[in-house]
Amino acid sequence: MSKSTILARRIVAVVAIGALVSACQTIAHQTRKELPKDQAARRIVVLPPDVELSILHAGGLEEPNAEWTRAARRHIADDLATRFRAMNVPLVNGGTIAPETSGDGRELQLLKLHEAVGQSILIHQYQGPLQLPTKAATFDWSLGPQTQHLRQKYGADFALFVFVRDSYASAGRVATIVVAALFGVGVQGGIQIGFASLVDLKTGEVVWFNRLARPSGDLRTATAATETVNQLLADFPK
Amino acid sequence: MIGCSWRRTIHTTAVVVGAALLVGGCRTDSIGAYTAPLEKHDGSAAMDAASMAQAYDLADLKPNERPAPNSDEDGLWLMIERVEKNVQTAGNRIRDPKVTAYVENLTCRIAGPHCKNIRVYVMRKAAFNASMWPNGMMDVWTGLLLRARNEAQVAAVIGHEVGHYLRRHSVQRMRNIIDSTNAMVFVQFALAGAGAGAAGDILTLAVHGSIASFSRDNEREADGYGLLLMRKAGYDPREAAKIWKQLRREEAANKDNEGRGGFFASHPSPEERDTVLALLAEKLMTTKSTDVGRDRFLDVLLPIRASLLRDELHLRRYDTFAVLLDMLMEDGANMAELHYFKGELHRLRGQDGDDKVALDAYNAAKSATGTTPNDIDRSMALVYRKMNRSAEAKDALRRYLAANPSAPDAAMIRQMIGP
Repeated sequence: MSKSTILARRIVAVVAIGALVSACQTIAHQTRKELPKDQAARRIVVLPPDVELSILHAGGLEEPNAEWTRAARRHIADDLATRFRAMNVPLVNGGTIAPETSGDGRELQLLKLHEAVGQSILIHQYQGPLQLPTKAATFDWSLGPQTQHLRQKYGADFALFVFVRDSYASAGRVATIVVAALFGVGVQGGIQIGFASLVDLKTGEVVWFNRLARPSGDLRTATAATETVNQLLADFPK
Repeated sequence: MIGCSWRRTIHTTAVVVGAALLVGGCRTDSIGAYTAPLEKHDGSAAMDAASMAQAYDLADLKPNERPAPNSDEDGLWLMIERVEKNVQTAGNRIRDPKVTAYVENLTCRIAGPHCKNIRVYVMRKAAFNASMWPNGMMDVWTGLLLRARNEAQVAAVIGHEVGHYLRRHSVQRMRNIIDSTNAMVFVQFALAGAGAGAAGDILTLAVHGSIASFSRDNEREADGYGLLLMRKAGYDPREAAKIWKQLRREEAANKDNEGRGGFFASHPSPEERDTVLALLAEKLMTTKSTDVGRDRFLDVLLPIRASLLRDELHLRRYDTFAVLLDMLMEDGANMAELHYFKGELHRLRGQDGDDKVALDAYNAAKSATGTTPNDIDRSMALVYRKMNRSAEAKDALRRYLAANPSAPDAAMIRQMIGP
């Protein structure tokens, strides 16, 4: 397994514990409650959603599932396109969301940076043992002014980044949960962990952030994916 | 993980039965004909390619073959594609076109018809390593280039990695780990039902041991493929064993290396690899496979070697670094640079007697053939100052300034020299 995968797993584990403790409430952090009214100042680029779905095996191992992953990426992209159209938010690229990055090095660097910043927010912003004291009362995270590269490249004012890892218990895992319960032992089933950030491309500041951390949710069908995106985009600036 | 809550008295019989069940269930004894040389050092046969293929019904990858859509292997590739994007933009990726073209061409020579399917990335990282990812991404660390003596040795490692790719070892390992950990859960339940839940802890060890054993068999198979591929490309297969001999000498000086390997090791021991590879190479040697390519290799390595030696030095593993330098001196390419780094090692380690050894090494560097990094006089000055030989220190600093008039630290050096 790669280091980043292992890191992501560790983060998932930390967040999963947090989720169980805090009973999966979704509270968005934001410095912006509204998008600018001017259509020419509220253009959004949705970067390719970083989504992976996996099967959770009886022994606790996660196996990435290509079919579900591709479907989930498509469902999330379709849902976001429809949603922003309904919100009267102009999406760049004629309303389409690319499934993959264009391979532009600076864009890839920004995606990596967002992954690092987003996971830091996930771990250190929310109430829990790893919350940073300096972040308890404020929400001030930034990707830095390099985001202007995306502003110029896409002609967008904001960028939405989406990251989701979703696992589904195999039949063997479900059996394990049932049998373990007979022995009085709790075994974790599949979980859905994710976050989304809205970044102001002029300054690089994260102006809105929300997370998902729950033992439910599904991304394998369009209808279920809409429910997940509803949760993920709760309190999204109007 | 479950099992921990069932701490009861260990029921010895159950432990033995449980462990035997899993280990026995996972080990495949050799059957059928060899398709790759995979003997263990004691002469007994390890898991061979034919039985591995039976274990997971996986044939070698064909050129340009992709996993079946929506298979577990497809999922693995999809996940690694994202990892590869990160590697492509990694800050420590070597972009020197001479180095990357050299390693790419070498990989093509080894991989033959699979050339286009394997993308190699040279990463600036100290220590000996290279890895193959399921989708054909391969990374080679600069610490490996530094430790190789010639092109054939690099070819041996690349051949080994290509072997992992062709045999689809990543997906084999994933299936093995899933199967083993799944089986562990069910046996744990059985043991708990039988009132021997504590055996589960021992079982966990047995399962990890069996997963490691599977991994070692993969490595043996890749070693075998590596030899065959390097021979096919015309390289002298005897160079493969020499890498492990070299690494063993370095490891022998490593004082932090207690208790490595054995039951949980993911790779066979360097001793085994050295012995087996040498044995097999003698059998495989032909008059057509004699290329070693030392000059071609050094032509690419030497221009960047000082920076790689600097990376190793910064790990502060002085004992193993000293052995590495000794071995490179035996090889004898650019001796001046090697003496300089010996000086740096002793200057930075700073134990009793190191100052004198450092000075001797710097002086040896100056009279040896080759080129030294241009800060050698500054290093000498620092040692002289430490030994309170201030006149010599000032002379050395003046020589440094003369050689590097626009050095970024020139002002500080002038201040150190004084009026």
